[in-house]
Amino acid sequence: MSKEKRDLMDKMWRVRKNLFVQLFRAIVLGLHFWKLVRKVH
Amino acid sequence: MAKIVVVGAGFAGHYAALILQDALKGKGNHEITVISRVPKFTYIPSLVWVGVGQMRAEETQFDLKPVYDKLGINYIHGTVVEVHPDPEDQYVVVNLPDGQTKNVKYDYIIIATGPYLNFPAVEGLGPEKGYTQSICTPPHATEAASKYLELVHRLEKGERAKIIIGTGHGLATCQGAAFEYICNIHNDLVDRGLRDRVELMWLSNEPKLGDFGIDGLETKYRGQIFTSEDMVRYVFEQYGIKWEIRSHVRKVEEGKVYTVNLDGEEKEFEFDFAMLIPPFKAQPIKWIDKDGNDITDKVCNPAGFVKVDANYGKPYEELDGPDWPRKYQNPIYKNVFAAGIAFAPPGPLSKPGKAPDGTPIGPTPPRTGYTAELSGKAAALNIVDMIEGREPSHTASMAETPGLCIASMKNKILDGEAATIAIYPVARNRAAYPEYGRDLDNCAAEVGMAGAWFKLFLHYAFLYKLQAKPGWKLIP
Ligand SMILES: Cc1cc2nc3c(=O)[nH]c(=O)nc-3n(C[C@H](O)[C@H](O)[C@H](O)COP(=O)(O)OP(=O)(O)OC[C@H]3O[C@@H](n4cnc5c(N)ncnc54)[C@H](O)[C@@H]3O)c2cc1C
Repeated sequence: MSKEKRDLMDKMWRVRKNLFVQLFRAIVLGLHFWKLVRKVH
Repeated sequence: MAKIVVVGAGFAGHYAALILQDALKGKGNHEITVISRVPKFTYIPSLVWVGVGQMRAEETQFDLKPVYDKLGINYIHGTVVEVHPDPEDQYVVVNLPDGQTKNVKYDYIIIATGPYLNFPAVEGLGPEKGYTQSICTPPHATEAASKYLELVHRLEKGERAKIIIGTGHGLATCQGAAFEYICNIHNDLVDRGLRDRVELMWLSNEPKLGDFGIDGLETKYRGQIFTSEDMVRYVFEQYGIKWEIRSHVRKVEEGKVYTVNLDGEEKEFEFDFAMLIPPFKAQPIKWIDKDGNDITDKVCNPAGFVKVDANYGKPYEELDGPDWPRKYQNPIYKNVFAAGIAFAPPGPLSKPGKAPDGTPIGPTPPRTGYTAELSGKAAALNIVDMIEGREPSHTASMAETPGLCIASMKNKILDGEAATIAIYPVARNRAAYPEYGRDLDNCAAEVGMAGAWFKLFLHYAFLYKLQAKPGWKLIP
């Protein structure tokens, strides 16, 4: 894995249990899932 | 009046029955009958937590009959053993729990019987006649938990142990469930302060780490293309999990797994606890024509899965999105549909391989819970089309629909983690997306606590929706 990619992974790993970041990610990922679900329902 | 029979009440069959009932409400006196071997619906994804001893099996289940009584759907608790599909006299033969048999007539049928767990394919595999555990059914997951907790007890006394988790055959599928299990076991051991006493190993038939039976996935993030291989490798490094992939399990003895890999290397691994997903084949159902001949080979593929509107027989290299079924209708018997794991896929999604001795090693395609539901829904609505005199018009190809997966890694509200994965479409479709076969702008994968919240939310949301409680149709 390139250094750039590893740095990004490290960053994701560091914030994986940060409540504020995860609340934000929950909204972003929730909307993304919703968009995909709307394609088939 | 049409008689519609749905065989199986898992994600595909049960959801198909709910959709049929809803679509046919007030449109004549149609009769919907669900026949299922087990009188309960199980939310299988949560069996991962049952297998770690963090949830009771009953919390993943509900009784089917009260739901069907409420909706006016007939329910038969029994096992379908034969289908007689020729016109004029179309019926299934059902073995009832009291030993009697019963014939049930149909005008339209959906086969949604899921997988037969083929433990006998590998000597020593499985909890019943072998030495490994499984989390594929509620009793299996409960037994896996009790064996795991026995081991925990020994670890607490200072013993050390080896745990192997993964797939138990070169052609197994469902790698995602095994991945969830190994991550949950890792985190459970960490929380108990026992992780340093355990050597944890991932053993699988995947050609690459993170393949998951879907040929892996790619996502775009900040100008970089990340693969599921990058991600799983990173997670396993963080968790200190060793891996052995590209492997078929030849046999299992007490405390020892024998494997062969794609390079022909034969290896042995010792274990104190192993959970290996078995290969799947179809439930043993015979198809009989009007003269009493067994025509199973005509209707089903060699593993017994029911053929539908896919392009069968193409080599892996030529297989593409348009070859995947869209309407789930059998080409010979147009009133027969198959959904969920019961339909015959046109081929694998992951690159198939062979060991030098010819042993096939490569995941067979998973048909996840969401795919099962979508195919069940398409089959149900196509039957409604036919009842109302139209051609089937509803489609749910795996090459046109998303895969939405949350792989649990630790189930805690304020300390959990899970991999949230969105793939569009599930089956690579190079005709539509020439570069990767997928629309990378719609693919995502990340690890975090948000995923753990989603996973828990889905458990309750699906159990609510599938009991047809008020507003269930609002939950997709
Ligand atoms: C541990 C585990 C975790 C998983 N996690 C996820 C996940 O997180 N997300 C996801 O999308 N998928 C997940 N899956 C996959 C998912 O569970 C399956 O894709 C899904 O259950 C398939 O649905 P189905 O309706 O085809 O089959 P099933 O759910 O297996 O249902 C089959 C039904 O048919 C009945 N039946 C079988 N034979 C007969 C017969 N002869 N006569 C009458 N009835 C019969 C059975 O009793 C059952 O009711 C997981 C699987 C496992 C094992």
